[in-house]
Amino acid sequence: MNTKEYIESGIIESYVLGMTSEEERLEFEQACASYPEVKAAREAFEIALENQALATAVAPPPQLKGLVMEALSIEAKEETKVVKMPAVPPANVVVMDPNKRLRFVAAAAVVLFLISSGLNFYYFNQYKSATALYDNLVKENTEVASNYKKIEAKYSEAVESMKVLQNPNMVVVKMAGSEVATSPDPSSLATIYWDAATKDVYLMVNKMPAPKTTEEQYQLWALVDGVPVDAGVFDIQNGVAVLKMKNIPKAQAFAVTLEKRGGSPTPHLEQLYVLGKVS
Amino acid sequence: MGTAITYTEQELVALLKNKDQNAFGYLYERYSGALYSSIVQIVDQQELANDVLQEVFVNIWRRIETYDAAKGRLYTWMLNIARNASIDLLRSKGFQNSKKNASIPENVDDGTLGTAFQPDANNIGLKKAVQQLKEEHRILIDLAYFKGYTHEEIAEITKTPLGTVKTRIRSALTQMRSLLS
Repeated sequence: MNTKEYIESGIIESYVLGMTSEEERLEFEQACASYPEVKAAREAFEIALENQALATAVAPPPQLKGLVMEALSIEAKEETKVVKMPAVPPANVVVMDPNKRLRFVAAAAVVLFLISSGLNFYYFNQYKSATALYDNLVKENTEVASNYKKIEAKYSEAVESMKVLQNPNMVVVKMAGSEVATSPDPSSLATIYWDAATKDVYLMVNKMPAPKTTEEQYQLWALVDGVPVDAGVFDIQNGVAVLKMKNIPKAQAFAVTLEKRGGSPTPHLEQLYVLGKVS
Repeated sequence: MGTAITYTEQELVALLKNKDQNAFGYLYERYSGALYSSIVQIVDQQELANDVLQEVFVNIWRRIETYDAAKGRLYTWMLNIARNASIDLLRSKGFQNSKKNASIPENVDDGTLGTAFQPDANNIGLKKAVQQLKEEHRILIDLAYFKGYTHEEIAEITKTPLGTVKTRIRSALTQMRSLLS
């Protein structure tokens, strides 16, 4: 941790003045325990704050002290009130001769011990099965939660894609492998949705082969007056995702080439997969 | 303070945890002014501020067992109790109504609503340091610290992105540190 930066971030003042979130508070207390310089900075600010408050104190009306001390002594009395137990009536004592009594006590102790052991065993088993059941439930719950999250992510992806498709401003440009004589895969197909108002470009991959290695990545190009302009790189994704690419104000055609990961400054035309003209 | 008894903070805390009434008397003598000033910066009507101070000392008495010196100084802990009690009052229905009856225009950082205080609440304690901040910072600290709004609420009120609110508050707080020392 860069403690100097942390100390100067305003976290100290936030914490001391009670303005942190629960998360920030726990993190700060952890930092104070681990880094003496953080704790020292906190104390320095606390002392400055306290001294300033003492120096600019506003005395409350003098009669208030009596009221406060009286309220405190009422608190004190309430806390010390002792709950008196009702007197226990003396039990009927059966006098036994000492020997008999000792044997009786021993027998009673043995019986109690056996009962107690039995109960211990019984409750321990109950406890074990309850714990196992609980662990299982926790595990199941975690699985359900993680499945739910995955589905939710897919769903919001689909909703986003739908929004793009429903936008009436969209100019649709079909990019097909059949338009390119030298395409490595002439059956490739991808579609551009180009927002005529904002000029944002969205891409949907209909069918394109996955690159052979992770070193390679597809790159979208906009052809502007004969010059290819980079419109962003993308990976083939499962599902119906519509990918947002770079904003392109003007273009006559769009094309996709396979390039090294991260993209190239100019396209490698022998790796031109699909092309589509803006109609 | 006729008798010049002084305690170290550790001694004082130990006595307070023991519910020693003399120690509470000492605590009152030493800190009531500082705490009262923090209360009047939030609650600007004298009678209500008196009630809050009394409530604060009762709360200190009741909760002193939970005070943990590892997490901060005693005054810091008490200051937070005082601030929370003041803001609770500020947000209570009764206080809102009494403010309406006073029919004084709402003002984000005007500390003189209702029965005004002498001296002016703007001129004491943290508020004095806050007065030296830039306008945009001052309003944020006023809402966050003296009015007790969450960062999310402030973003809503000031129509500012949440991230900006957080950054500005942090920056205002670090400036206040240098103004205090």
